[in-house]
Amino acid sequence: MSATAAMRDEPLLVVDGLCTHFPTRAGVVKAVDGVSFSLRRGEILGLVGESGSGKSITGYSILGLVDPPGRVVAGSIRYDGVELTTLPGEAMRRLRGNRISMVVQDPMATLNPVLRIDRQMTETILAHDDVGEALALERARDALLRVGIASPDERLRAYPHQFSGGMRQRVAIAIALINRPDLVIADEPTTALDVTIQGQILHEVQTLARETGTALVWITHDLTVVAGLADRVCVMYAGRIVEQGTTAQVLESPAHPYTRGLLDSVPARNARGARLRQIPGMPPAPLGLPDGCAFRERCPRADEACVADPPMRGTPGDPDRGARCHHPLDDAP
Amino acid sequence: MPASAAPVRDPGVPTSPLRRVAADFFADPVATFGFALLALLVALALFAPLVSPQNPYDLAQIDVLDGRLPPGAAAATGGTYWLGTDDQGRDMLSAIFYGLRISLSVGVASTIVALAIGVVAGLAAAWAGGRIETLVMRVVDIQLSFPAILIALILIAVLGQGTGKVVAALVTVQWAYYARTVRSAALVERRKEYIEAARCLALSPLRIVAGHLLPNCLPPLIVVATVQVAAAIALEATLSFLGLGLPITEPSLGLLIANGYQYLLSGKYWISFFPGLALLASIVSINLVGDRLRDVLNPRLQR
Amino acid sequence: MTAFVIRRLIESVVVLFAMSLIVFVGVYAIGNPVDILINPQAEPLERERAIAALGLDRPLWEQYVTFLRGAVTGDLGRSFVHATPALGLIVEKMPATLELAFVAMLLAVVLGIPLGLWAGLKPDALSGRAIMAGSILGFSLPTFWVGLMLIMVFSVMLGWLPSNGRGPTVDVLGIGVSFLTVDGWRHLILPATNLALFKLALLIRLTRAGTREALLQDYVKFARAKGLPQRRVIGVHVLRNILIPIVTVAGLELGSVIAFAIVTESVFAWPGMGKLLIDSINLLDRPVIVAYLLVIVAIFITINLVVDVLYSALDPRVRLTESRG
Ligand SMILES: Nc1ncnc2c1ncn2[C@@H]1O[C@H](COP(=O)(O)OP(=O)(O)O)[C@@H](O)[C@H]1O
Ligand code: SF4
Ligand SMILES: [Mg+2]
Repeated sequence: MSATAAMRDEPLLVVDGLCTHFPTRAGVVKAVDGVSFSLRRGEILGLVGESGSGKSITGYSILGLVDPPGRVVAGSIRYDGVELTTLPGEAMRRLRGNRISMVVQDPMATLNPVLRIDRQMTETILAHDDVGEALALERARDALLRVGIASPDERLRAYPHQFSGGMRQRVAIAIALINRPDLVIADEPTTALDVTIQGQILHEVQTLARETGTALVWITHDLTVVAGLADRVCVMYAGRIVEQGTTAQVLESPAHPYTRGLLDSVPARNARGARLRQIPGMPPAPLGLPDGCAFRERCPRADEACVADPPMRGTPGDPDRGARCHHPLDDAP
Repeated sequence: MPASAAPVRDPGVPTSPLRRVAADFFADPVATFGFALLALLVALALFAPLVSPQNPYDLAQIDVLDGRLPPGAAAATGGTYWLGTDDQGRDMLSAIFYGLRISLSVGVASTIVALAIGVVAGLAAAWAGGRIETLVMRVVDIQLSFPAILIALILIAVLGQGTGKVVAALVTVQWAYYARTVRSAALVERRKEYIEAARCLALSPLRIVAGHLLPNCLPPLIVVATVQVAAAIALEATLSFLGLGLPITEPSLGLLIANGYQYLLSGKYWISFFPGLALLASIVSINLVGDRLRDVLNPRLQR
Repeated sequence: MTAFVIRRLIESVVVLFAMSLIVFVGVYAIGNPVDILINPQAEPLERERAIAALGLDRPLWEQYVTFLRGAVTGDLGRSFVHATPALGLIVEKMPATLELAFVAMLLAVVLGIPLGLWAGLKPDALSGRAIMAGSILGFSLPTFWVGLMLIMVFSVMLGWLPSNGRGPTVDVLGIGVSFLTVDGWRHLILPATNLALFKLALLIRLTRAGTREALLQDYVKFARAKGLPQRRVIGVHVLRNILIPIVTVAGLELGSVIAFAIVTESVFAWPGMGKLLIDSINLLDRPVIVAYLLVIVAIFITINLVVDVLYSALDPRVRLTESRG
């Protein structure tokens, strides 16, 4: 790898103008359409947005795992100084699960139902580091302990269906962390779980990431999840990032009307008795995006200006803070 | 084959369901080819007496001296035996047209009878529920767990031979498929609201079943029936080839093939080969049409 | 597990008993045995004697009891034609049929799974489409005609392989088998290919559908995300998952292959029990027909039982729930 001391200051991951499109019979689905963000070592980034906004495809694009006919058609993804979009298959494979790993959405389906847990864990080690079965097993055991699974020896010999949903996701997280990667992309790993287990896992992952200095992209549709977890937040809408900033900036003083709408529809944030305000309308159909701002048809502030594509407006002196809107909200809530 | 290739419909044009299905169907070139081939075969079968160079079963028109001539040979009476002749001096092309007629009619006739029986049994099971349903479906399950050829052979062994008995065997083999199809479709429909509504209106069971349930079971039935016609034709041919099917007075394609079997070993391939091609063309064309119908009529694929 | 096997065994016996009743009623009661069995031109006295000898003058239930008692002791009556025990005739022909069926199924599995996997991995490529087109053809081709065409091409035109019979057999534990000699294989290969074709088409379709389904699963995505090489993702994660249902189906289809051997054996004059059945139907040799049917039903039931037990042993999900229950 080209990770040299001189590059330490450069962000670990720089995504710039990423476009991932799916050509279908009915037209081109622009699942990700010009996404840019960057991530420093050890940083935790929350990627938030409604279902279908392109969060998962952004994650898969980074790992080079977009299913055909989908393809990264433009933009660049630089990881530790290496351009991933043009990286040959075998080099990309050696990064996956080793330097960059991913936890995918459904805890009931991420583990192979007919393979024992020990195999599913050790194969991840042996695919990158030929340390031998015994040592791999030892590491697998430690990895289980680290995510809070008791009696790991017994668990290693079990099959996935013998675990609860929360336990399975813990195993998946243990596998993602097993080679001590620099970056973990977690795609709604807790969405399907009970609130209490969700909380526990969030806490544990946060602790682990901080301890090991692992950077984390936490994908979720739930703003409350990122509140206590992330350093920074990117809000996605219809394949684009519409707002970014530190967690405090985005949650306390959102600039984009869409972020505002998301916040207003979160129950806990509303004063008791106040009515929840849902964002009117539906997320746009992936094939029928309106011209200009994609949020136009649902936005209370929309006017003629919004027919033109709004650019991402940075904040002077703070390039990581910005919103893609012609009429951003005032800082006052 | 791009069987799943469904065209994107223009939602702006309202059409009748039949025209929509037809438009969808013919959007697939392979299916269109299958349909055209099938139409041609059916036409040849229907008009066999008109299109055949000779009536192969009119002894006055055939000449044993012309026996086993290869394809393209000149006939004593003038004309050409394009596909050769059989041991009796019959023009194979004519024999194939007549054979198609018999094979297709036996296949279609047995399918219609089996369809009627299966639909009644399946609807009765779905409607009555309880013991009757369990009994009918148990019989269906057991029967479907044995290969069709075995069941047909047992019946022929028991009933003896003859055209009617072959049809009876084909019907017995097929009815279970329809019963199962109708019942599962009817079970789904039964839970839907309009059936409840019809019940509340105190419509007679017969009217509900015939007027509401049956039309909704139709799409899967059409698909199964199409595929089953092909299966019935193949099974009849197999039985006839084994000498346990149609009598020689009804020379189906299977019998023609069986008749040429003994000459195959001496290199006179055409007596078996061409009827086999006709049989294959019939089965393939029907299956292509059935495959496409399955996609076009499948509600899950409709967007 | 043991309880499961015992329960399935009892079920099997019940089904076998029910089938024996159906077969008996079918063959002994629906047709008129006297007319079929005894030469109509025979002297009346001779007819009487024949009827008594065959037990056809007894009430139906008595005939069934006799039949059942015989069946339990392995005595299913004597062939009218060969005058030897019917069951013995069947058992004598069984190895030939089983050998043919096993080789056919093996061919179908060995070719069908890789081809189906390939077609599932490359559904849009020319190769994938060609495999699927071939499998549609395999479903449509009537087995007996394919048999004739194989004979035409490989025996008559090319002269490479014999067109009929089993060739010399080698005794293994007193059972003659063909697969140990080159000449045996030369006789075996055409009929086995013929018989395999339909199941090959079936296995290609099953494997392709299973592969395509598996590729969409999260665990495959996760396996890729772990950085496993493609060959391990396909060879271990995909294959392990689809293999269990496919092997199960292949096992269950073995019964149907044995039944379908009737056609192939007739085409290739393979001396198995299928050909014996056709000959017996033509000669109205009912005890042999009944014996064949009972044997094939027993084979079906045994196969179902064995496959069920194997399946529950193979699939960890079933294995563990069963052992707990
Ligand atoms: N295989 C595919 N073919 C066509 N469109 C796809 C495919 N996969 C995803 N998409 C589209 O990409 C968009 C973004 O999907 P995704 O990233 O999964 O959303 P999210 O994770 O934010 O819920 C959606 O509109 C979806 O319809
Ligand atoms: S650009 Fe216009 S429509 Fe889009 S979010 Fe801003 S105000 Fe609303
Ligand atoms: Mg997602």
